[in-house]
Amino acid sequence: MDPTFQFVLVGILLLSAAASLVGTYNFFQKQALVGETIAHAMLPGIVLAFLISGVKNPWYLLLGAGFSGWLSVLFIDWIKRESKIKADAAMAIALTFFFGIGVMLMVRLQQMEIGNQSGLDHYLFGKAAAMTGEDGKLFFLTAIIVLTLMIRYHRDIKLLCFNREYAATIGVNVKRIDFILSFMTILVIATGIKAAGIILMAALVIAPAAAASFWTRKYATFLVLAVGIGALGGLSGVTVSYYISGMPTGPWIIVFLFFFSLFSMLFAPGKGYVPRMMLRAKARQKIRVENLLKSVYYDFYRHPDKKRILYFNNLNKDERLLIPHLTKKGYVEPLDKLHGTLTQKGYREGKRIYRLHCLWEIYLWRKMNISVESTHSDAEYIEHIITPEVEKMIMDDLGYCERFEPLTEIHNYLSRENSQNTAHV
Amino acid sequence: MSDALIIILVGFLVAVNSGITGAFMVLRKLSMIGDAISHAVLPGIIIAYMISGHRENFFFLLGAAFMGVFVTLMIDWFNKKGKLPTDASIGLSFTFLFAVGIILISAFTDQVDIDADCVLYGEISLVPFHTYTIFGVEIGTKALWDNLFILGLILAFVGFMYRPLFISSFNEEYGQSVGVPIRSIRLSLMILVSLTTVFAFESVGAILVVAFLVIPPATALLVSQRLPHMLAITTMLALFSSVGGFFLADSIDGSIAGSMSFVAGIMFVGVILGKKFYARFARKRFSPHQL
Repeated sequence: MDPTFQFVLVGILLLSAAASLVGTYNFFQKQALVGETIAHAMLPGIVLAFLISGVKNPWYLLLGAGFSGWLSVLFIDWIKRESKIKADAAMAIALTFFFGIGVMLMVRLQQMEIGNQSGLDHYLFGKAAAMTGEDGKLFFLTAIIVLTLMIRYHRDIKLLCFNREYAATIGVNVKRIDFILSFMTILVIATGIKAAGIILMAALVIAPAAAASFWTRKYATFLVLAVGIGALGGLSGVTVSYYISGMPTGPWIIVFLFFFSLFSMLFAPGKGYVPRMMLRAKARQKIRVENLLKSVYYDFYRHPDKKRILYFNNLNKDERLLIPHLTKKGYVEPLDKLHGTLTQKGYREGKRIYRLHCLWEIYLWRKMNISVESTHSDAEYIEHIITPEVEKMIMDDLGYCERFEPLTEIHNYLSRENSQNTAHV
Repeated sequence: MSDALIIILVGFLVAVNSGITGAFMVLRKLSMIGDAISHAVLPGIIIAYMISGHRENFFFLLGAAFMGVFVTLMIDWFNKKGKLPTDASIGLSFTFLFAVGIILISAFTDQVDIDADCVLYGEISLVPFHTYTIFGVEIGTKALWDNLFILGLILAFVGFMYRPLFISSFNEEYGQSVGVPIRSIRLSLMILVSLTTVFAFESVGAILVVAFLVIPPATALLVSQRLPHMLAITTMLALFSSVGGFFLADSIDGSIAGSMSFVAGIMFVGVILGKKFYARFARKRFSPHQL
C-alpha cells in the first residue's frame, strides 16, 4: 500500500473514532447539532487567526478555531441560562451569529488581498488529501486526549448522560465534566474541520452515535459500537476516494455513515423500523384471528343446531383471507371449498376470548359501576391483552372461583334486563 | 429605486418571510431546520443543472425547492417512523444530502461549472442586477417579486390556518385531541419553510436566511406573551436588522448578509441584557423588603 494512503487512513480512523466517542454524549443530551454549531462558529476564529498571523500554520488556526468555538459554547450556555429560549434555538442563533461574523470578516479579507487566502476554503468544504504531517500529529494527539479523558471520567460522563440531577446529587462535579465534554467536542471539531469540512464534521459527530443507538441498550456496548461504526465509515470513505480518482474523502465518509445509520434505523432488531412493523403486523393478525374465532364461537354457542359448520361465503373478504392461517393453526378443518368445521381447539380458543371479554365487562360493571351495555367497546380491546395471570387477578378481585362462567352471568343479567324492559312495555 | 433601497427592501422581505415561518419553527423546537434546508438543496441544484444543462435560475430553483421539500419529509420520517430524536434526524439528513452534492460536484467537475462558494453565499449586493423583463419591459427586481410571491403564500397560509397552526405549535397532543390535522399542518409548514428558504437563499445567500429564521422570532419570543405580538415584533426586528445591517456593511466594507445577521444577533443579545437589567431595576424599586 501507498504510504500516503496509509497515512491518510490512519489519520481519518483516529479522527472518526474520536468524533464518534464525543458524539455519543451529544446524542444522549439531544444536542446532536451542537457539532454543527461549533463547526460553523469556528469560521471567525480561523479567519481572525489568519488575519493576525498572516500564515496558514495549522496550530494558529486551531487555536483561533478553538477559541471562537469555545466562545460559541459559552454563548449557547448563556442564552439558555438567561432566557427562556430553548437549546435548539440557542444553537441556531449562535451558529448564524458567529458564522455571520465569519462571513463578514472573510469578505473583508478577500478585499484586503493578502494572497494565499484560498486555502481557507478547505476549512469550509474539507480536503483530506491535503492532509499534512502536522495535521496527522494533531489527529493522533486529539485521539489520545479524547480517549484518555473518556476513560478517566467514563463513570461521571455516563451518569451525566442519563441523569444530570442524580449525578449532581451524588457529588459529581457537573460543571467540570461539562467543561471536559465541551473541550473534547471543540478539540475534535477544530482538528477535524480541515479534513472533513465544517458541515461534514457535524455528521461525523452525529451519525455513528445515531446508528449505534438502534442496536443496543447498554452504554458500554453503545460506545464500542459507535466507535466501530465511525471507524468503518472512515475506512470505507478513504478507500473509495483512494481507488476512484477525484473523489473527496469527507463526503464519502458521510455517505457511508448515513447508510449505516439508515440500515440500523430500518433493520436493527427490536428498535428498527422493519422489525417493529413486523411485530405490529403479527399483533394485528393475532387480533383478527381472535376476533373471528370469538364471533364464530358466539354464533355456534347461540345456535347449536349449526353443528359448528362454517360457511365461508358468510364471512367477509378480510375474514376469508384468514382461513388458511386458521387451518394451519388447527382451529378450522376445511371440508370442501365452501365449508369447514370449527375444531374443538378452535371452539375452545373462541370460548377463551369470549370469556375474557365477558369477564372484563363484569369487572367494569361491578368494580367501576359502568353499566354492562357501555362496557362492550372497552372489552373489545382488552380481551386480546389479558394474560392468564391478569385473568386470575381479576377473578380473585371479583371473588369468583375458577369454575365461574362469566358468559352465563352476563347472559342472565342481560336477559333479565330485557324481560324487565318488555314487562314495562 | 436606488440600489441601496432595493437591497434593504429585499433584505426586509426575506426577513419578514423567514421571520413569520421561523416563529412557528422556534415554537416547535425545530429552529435548526433552516440551516438543514439551506445545506440540503445543494444536490438539487446540481442535479437540476445536469438534467437541464442550463444555468437558468428557474431550474436551480426547481431543483432546490424539490430537495428542500424532500429533506423536510426525510427529517419527518426519520423522526416519526424511524424513532430518531429530532436533532439527530436533522443532522443526519442534511449532512448526507450536502455530501451527495459535494460528491456530484467532484464527479462531474468537467461538466458542472458551479462553485460551491457561490451556492453557499448567494450575494445580496448583486440583487439589483437581476430583473424580470416581460415583453421587453423591465418590471422590477427579480428577488423582490419572488419574495413578494412567497410573502403572499405565507400570509395566505397563516391567515387561513391561523387557529390550527396556533394550537398545534404550542401543544401537538391537545391539537390532535381537538381534531387538528397536525401531521398535514406540520408538513405544510415545513414545506412552506423550505420554499421560503430556497427562494430567499437564491437571492440573498444561506446564512442570512438561517439567521432571519431564528434570531428575530427568538428575540420576539423574549418580549412577547402572545403569538400575534410575537409575529408583529418579529416583523419590526426584521426591518431594524435589514436597515442596520446594510449601513453597517456599508461603513465597514464587509458582507451585507453577514452584517445583517450580525445586527440581528446583537439585538438579540441586547434584548436579553436589557431584560436582565430591567428586571434588576424593577426588583429594586418594588422589592418587598422595602415595603
